[in-house]
Amino acid sequence: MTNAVVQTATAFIGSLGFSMVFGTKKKYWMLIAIDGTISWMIYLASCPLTGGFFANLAAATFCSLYAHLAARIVKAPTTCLLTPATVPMIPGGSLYYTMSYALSGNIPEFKIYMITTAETIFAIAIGFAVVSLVFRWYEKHA
Amino acid sequence: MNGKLLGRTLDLGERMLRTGGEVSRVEDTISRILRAYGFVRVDVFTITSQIQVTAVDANGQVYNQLRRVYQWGTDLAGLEELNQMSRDICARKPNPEEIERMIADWDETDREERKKGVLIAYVGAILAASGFTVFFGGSLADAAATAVLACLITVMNRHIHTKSDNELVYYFVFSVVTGFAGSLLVRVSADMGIPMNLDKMLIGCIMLTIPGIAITYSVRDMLTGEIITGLLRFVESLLIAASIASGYILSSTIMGGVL
Repeated sequence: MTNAVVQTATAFIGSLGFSMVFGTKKKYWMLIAIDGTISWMIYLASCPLTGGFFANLAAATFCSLYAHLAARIVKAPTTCLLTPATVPMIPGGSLYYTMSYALSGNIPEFKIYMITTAETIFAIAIGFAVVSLVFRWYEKHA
Repeated sequence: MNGKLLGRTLDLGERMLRTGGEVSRVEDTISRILRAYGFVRVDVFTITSQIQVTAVDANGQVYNQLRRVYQWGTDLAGLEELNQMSRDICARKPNPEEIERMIADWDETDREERKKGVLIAYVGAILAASGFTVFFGGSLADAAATAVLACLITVMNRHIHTKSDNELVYYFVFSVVTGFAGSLLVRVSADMGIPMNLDKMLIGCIMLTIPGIAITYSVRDMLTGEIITGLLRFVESLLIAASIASGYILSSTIMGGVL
């Protein structure tokens, strides 16, 4: 439980940090950090029930939906709000370990990390793709 | 007049790609602007490294231009301003000379904003890297050491220009340097009696540079139909990840296999 609290707090700090690194405007920092934090809470809450894939899918769907709606309210491009908020979910660590084990020849570990990385990337990408297609369709027909 | 206009539209599209705009946004922007100026048919094809446009005006004259884009990064405030500029152009339809001035102004303010943003870039890197060190289970001492490394990374990011020559070499050298600096910090702090985890520190730093976002977005692009762009980004991300990993492996092999 304390671990979950620490992770949620650091997800907030991490998304805030990345909003600065990616050069977003100051007025969006809080919006982005809140998006990153809630998405990570959704991941943590659904992970024990559904497993990693669906937890990432749910978190990414929320994250993207929030960013699309917020972007329409503040009239900014969606990418500007979405990119930094995705950071806590992104499999940066496991992508690194995948490559690291591949290069050092540790095949069993490499396999485990590669599967986790691919699973996470696909789950997030599917969540993003579905939400952006829905919005694209809505804008064309409404 | 129309040829010039096409050139200025490509200038705008090129800058959007360079600041991290999606391919679909660039295609959409270019065709919206050209249609606003009365072109009857506009075909735009964009991948991350190239934009090509064929446009037919009301007299049936065909214009064709191609733009090669050599580097791309992330500057989200810049992207937002470019997006606003494109809306403005569609609404007011200024002549090509005025668009050229608007773009030159944007270049100028963007450069100034970058200079002014130095402090924010450092604070952001420290928050992000230290945040992820704790996120992955590091202690507060680890987070403090990560902050030092994050500053080092930001210095390299801002001042080393080989990044635009060859990204893979850049990321390799950069990981070797960060790995060495991390090992030194751990040894110094161990002498002072503060135990630290090098792997936790480095994973925070790695989050700053590893193309995790790029690879996820590349798969999203493929799923939404931008297959070439997605593949380009996907392969680029894998290569960068490999060169980062090999850099850290080299530094840890030399420093005695800590990671």
